[in-house]
Amino acid sequence: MKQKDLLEGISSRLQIAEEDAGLLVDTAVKLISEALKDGKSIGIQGFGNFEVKKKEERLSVHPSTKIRTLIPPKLVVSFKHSIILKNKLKDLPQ
Amino acid sequence: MNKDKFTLSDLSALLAEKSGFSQKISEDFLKVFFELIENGMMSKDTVKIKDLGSFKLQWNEARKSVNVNTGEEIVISGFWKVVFTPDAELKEAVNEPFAHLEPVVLDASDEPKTTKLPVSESIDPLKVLNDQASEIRNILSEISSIGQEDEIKPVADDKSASELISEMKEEEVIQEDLEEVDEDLVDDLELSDHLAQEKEKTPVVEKPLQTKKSKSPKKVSVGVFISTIIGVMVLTALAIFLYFTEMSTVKHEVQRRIIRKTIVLVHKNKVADSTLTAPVVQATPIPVTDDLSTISRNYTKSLGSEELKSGVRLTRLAVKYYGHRDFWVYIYEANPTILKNPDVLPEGKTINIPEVDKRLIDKENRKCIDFARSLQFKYLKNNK
Repeated sequence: MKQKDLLEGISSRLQIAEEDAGLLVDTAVKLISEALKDGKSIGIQGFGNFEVKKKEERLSVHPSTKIRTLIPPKLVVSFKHSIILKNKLKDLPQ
Repeated sequence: MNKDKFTLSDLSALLAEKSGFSQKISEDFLKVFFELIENGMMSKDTVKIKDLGSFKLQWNEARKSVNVNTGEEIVISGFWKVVFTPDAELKEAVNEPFAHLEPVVLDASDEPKTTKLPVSESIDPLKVLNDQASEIRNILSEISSIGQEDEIKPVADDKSASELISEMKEEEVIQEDLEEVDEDLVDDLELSDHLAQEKEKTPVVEKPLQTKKSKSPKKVSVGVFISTIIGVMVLTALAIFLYFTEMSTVKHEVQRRIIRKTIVLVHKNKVADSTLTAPVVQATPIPVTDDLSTISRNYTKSLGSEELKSGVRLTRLAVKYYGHRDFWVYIYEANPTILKNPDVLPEGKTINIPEVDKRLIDKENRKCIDFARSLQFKYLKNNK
């Protein structure tokens, strides 16, 4: 689904211009990114939570060349869908 | 969890503030926004939102598992799962605190740690051990002072003077050993344990036990100290050995290159020599060259083709096909488009080895060689 379709859907549902919808989407995305950047998690009822998780540093060995590399720790964004959404998905065919 | 920090209503409030739209619209917008993402996903599409990421559904196959309580086998049925992959910018923004870190390839000998912000972690253990060591020294001084006091009392009763003197000596040795404590971390802890036990027993008159205990830490510390020295020596020896073997491989490489270059130089010199001799030859037997020059050099037929890999020389090809290296001129003549300069062989191209009139490439015939050389001189001169 492309961004354009999303904007069309929003504008038709809310009775606002597509431009405005685009602006709203951009600001919303920026807000979410900033919140995640600060390490905060965002919970959307019925949809899911966006969390920031820390991955510890680890030692990895290249299987063929046997080069050992120390991968540094990092922070990643993860999304966990809510149970309501999960139940909705149960009805989907394989 | 900070889940209560950011809910939909919090987001909508911020959104209203930032975008200038009313609170109601912001709220509705967010609801619709996520609804549409949901719908998009449900139709098995990947919903991609710029600067945020993409949402898609992933099917997980049913798998066998075990009920943790009863231990009986159960089957986890297949299910759909929402997968979110953040955009590159979002990933970078979130990973800012650790952005300066990069994967580090490790050597066999040491393991450098990636630079961490809390550097104090590495300093602390040493500091703690230093404190411990100073504490131990204090305790020992106390022991020795107490020991001297006790010494006066039982001298008359049980102990002989020699025994006491040996005790004193051992205690002194303990003190000396402790000055070496800083070198070995693990040993420090063992020592401190031993000496803590010692400290407890000094007020009581359990001297014979004390003497036994005082021996073991001494032996242990000296033994480990010697082994660490040997280990360090072995490591340095290894390092030097590796360094020299590396050097030798480098030397080999360098030698090989030098040898190759000299071969090339020698080859060039030989070619140059032949061209130098050419004018001398040309001066005297003029009618000879006329004979051979009348032979047509139309290269219609081909003996084969050669790919110009690195290390291919026209002279070598001439030896291979015609029997004499000076007949490379004919190969050169047959491939004018590819071989503009006889010294330069464009790598990867394929040249044609022509069939040359037998009278021209008779390697036994002195005239053939001279004629070929005269042609060489002509071509090499033109290119300079």
